[in-house]
Amino acid sequence: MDLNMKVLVVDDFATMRRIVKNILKQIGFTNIMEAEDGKSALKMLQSDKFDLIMCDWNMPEMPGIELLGKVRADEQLKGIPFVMVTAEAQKENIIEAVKAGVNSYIVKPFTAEIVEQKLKKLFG
Amino acid sequence: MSGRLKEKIINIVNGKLTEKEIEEVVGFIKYVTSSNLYEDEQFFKEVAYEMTGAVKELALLMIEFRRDIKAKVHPELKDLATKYIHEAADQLEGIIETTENAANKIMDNLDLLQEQTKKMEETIASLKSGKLRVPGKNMKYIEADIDAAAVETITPLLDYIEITEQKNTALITDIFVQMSFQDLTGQRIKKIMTLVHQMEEKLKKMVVSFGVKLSEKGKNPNISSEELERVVNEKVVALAGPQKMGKGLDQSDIDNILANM
Repeated sequence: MDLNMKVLVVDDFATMRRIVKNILKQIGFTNIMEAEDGKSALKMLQSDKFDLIMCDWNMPEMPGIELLGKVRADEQLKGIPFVMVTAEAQKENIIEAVKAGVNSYIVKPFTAEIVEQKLKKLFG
Repeated sequence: MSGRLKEKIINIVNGKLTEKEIEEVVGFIKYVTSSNLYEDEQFFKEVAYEMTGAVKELALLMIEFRRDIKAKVHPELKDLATKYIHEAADQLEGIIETTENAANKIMDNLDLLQEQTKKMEETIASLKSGKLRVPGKNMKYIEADIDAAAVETITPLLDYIEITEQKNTALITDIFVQMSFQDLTGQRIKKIMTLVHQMEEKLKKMVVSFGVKLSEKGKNPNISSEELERVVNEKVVALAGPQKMGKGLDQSDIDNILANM
């Protein structure tokens, strides 16, 4: 797993963005950016190169599932690994995310170990 | 006439009733509105007043609910929050802001703890390699060599401190993760706020519609239904305005309408 990869953390709650960033830093990631909703995340993704997206589901302007759809539909962005980090734990949500092309799904509340496990599994 | 009435009903139900059910509704309305019998008119008035009474009760319940939330929830949140937090103006939105501030303050302290833990780990690593390097006064580092025998003597202690610091790091990370309560509670509160706002908007429209119609009909019994609709729409627009989520009904206007019902 390349710890120099550029990560985009997307969540409308600043607290949650800070928590995810802290965990990523503990794992060893050094290049972490933030967005507070899907719309601004999409703008950032279209103007800069990212290697990983960690995104909440429930957000104003553009929910995470919609951002996922747009990322997968974009020729330049479709290959970026997308991890949903969300409190939505219903089976149908997970199925919907998988159908939309999510690479991994982390349910809140989570532990730092789970995040590390999921990322190691994703990147090998 | 019945053609227009049927068209109106079809637009309102929007596909939710069958053709037969729509015909039955049209028949019922024609019967009720065309009847000259005192008893039927009285029945219609009683039904209307009963619905008006129920709507009024519901509106009062909503107002009480909002007063109750303000009285019960806010003081408890103040107790839970740290001493460093300022209160937000709107109570439900204030809960999110208050908990966010508290979580951020806790995480600021955790950041400092993490930094200190990291420095301690670096100092221990340095000691194990025979170099003393610790922060002294005025941001200057104190540096000295330690002889091998002394390092060997204190190594068990250094190992113990190292393990303890690693455990502290894990605990700090865990506390960080627990701060996600703010996100989880905040999402639930936002859903409640959305629901309350939607209920208030619908109820406001119903209260205004019933109240204004009764009031205007009382003043002018010959007023047409089109004119009634126009007056109701004007009132709804006047009462709307840029209300923030959580601010609720315009109290004095609604109280006035309720008093007239």
